[in-house]
Amino acid sequence: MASSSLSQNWADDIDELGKVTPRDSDNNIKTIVEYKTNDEGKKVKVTRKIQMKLVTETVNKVVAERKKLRKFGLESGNKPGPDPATTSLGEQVFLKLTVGFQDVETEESQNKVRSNLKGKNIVCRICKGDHFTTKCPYKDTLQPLQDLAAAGEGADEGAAGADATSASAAAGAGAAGATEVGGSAYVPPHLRNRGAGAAGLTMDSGRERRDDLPTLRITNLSEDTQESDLQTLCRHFGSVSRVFLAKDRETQICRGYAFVSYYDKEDAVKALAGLNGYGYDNLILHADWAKQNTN
Amino acid sequence: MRPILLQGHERALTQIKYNREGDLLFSVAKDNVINVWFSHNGERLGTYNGHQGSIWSVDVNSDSSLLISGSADNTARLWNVADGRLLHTWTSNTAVKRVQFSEDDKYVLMVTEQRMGFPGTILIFAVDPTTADQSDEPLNVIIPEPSKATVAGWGYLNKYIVVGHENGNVSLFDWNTGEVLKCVEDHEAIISDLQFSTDRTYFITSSKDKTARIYDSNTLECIKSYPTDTPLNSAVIVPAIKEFVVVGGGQEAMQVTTTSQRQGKFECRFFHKIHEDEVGRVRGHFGPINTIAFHPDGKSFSSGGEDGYVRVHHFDPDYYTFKYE
Repeated sequence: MASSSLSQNWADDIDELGKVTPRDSDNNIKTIVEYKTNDEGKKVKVTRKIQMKLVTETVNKVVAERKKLRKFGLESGNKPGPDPATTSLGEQVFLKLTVGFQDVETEESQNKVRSNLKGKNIVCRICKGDHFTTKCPYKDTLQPLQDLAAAGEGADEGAAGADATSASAAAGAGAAGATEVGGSAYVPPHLRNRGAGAAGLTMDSGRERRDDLPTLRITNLSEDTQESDLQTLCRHFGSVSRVFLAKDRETQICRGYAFVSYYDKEDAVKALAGLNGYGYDNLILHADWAKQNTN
Repeated sequence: MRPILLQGHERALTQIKYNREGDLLFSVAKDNVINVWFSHNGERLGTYNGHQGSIWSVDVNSDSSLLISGSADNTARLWNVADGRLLHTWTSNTAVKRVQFSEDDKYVLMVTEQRMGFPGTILIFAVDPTTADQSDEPLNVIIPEPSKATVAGWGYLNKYIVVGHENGNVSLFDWNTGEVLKCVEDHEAIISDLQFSTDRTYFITSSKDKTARIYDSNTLECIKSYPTDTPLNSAVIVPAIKEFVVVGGGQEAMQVTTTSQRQGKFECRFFHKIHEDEVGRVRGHFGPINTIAFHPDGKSFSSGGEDGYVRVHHFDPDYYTFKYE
């Protein structure tokens, strides 16, 4: 089927005068020429070519016989052919046969979304993970954190001064935490020197310095809390140097408190303001500066 | 492929069935009419009017001259396929849940519901296509114990009938004596459908316990099983071209409104018959799939859903070129 205006002929069998060369008439091609006015008020010639093809289908004799049956019941008197009231064509559906089938369509749609967003950074506004905010696993629990962090930012000017004294106390507690945690407090190389504030320090000196980092003691954690949960929770407020979650030696269940060290004092102050009284996993957290170990 | 949608029913489909050549497709639903369609283009040939209640089951004999239907108005009716004429009405005490012609068209079985003090029964009647008068006296009445029958079908050569029970049992009956020959207890919930292979030497059952199983008709040995994650309402063995089975179901109708279409799993699932692996799905229904039927030539299939639609699918060329390896 082809439609063309007088000036824009595309079919080679129509000459410039707009005459139709009746071609292929013996080849079962029917040409219909129509003149009509288009939306722009121009007179347009529409040439439609319809190829007629006679398909002979061989069917069982009884089937052929049944095709001649007269309609009956609610259909009685209706003319042959499908009635649009009862018969219609549905949307295209696909049957993709695969060995080891998985729900292809969901995968496809996900891939499509991913390819559309290729090159763009997807960052969750809640937990800063690489997924959409709506898909965030902490959507319900962490929603108010944003606001808290923002509020903390405003307040930390004053708070920083007030907490300066307790900061020194916190430093010692960090040491206590470090001895408990043993070798598990791995810090990736790119973070190692950040707290030290000076380049070229050895690994050992980085470790020593870390003990002086501002540390929070968070209590009233639920039993289900994992170290990774705590990481995601705490890294809103700034880069976290170390998270230590106290676990039962045998059962590995959280004992309800944890130590979190920040590289930056200001971040720690923000975290303190944000996390103290924050509802997390049905419990209200209590955050305070970690106390210095007297030993 | 673009399915043909058949909108001849106002309520949920209960069963659809192709005739032997596959040119006609019969559909029954919880409204009171039986529709017959040309399967190649979806044109409705006619309707069979007369039932006063939901129609649960339909079957056509092998030369497509007679149609039998079982209904919740406590009757089973015999119709002339070509013009929609009612030939005979059998009256039962309770709803007729399942009807089927025997392989040689001489008998029909009817599964009746257990209700109002009447036990669930399986009635066997003789059908004589040459006369207008049909016998109202059953040849045999079987009362399956302890669990009532939900589906039943004739084995090959009219030897036995296979019965699916409410408790998930599948049993083999000698229909002359009413004796239980074998009984297996693989399924854990109600058997929702039972369809034979073309030669009736094996059959597939679907159950609300989310599995479909293939059994040997003689030994009732469970040959294959196809576990899914949704209650199944129907299962069919692909009769030609491919070694597949198709199962369909979905969440219970009463819970549909509380979940999305995606979670409802209203899809026809194709499994490889031998390897028991899922190979593909066809979606489209808005509600659970209640019944699936396959064209005898294996080139198209239809599904009827709780949404009141029958969808007739003719396969694309890539269906035929697919190789399982």
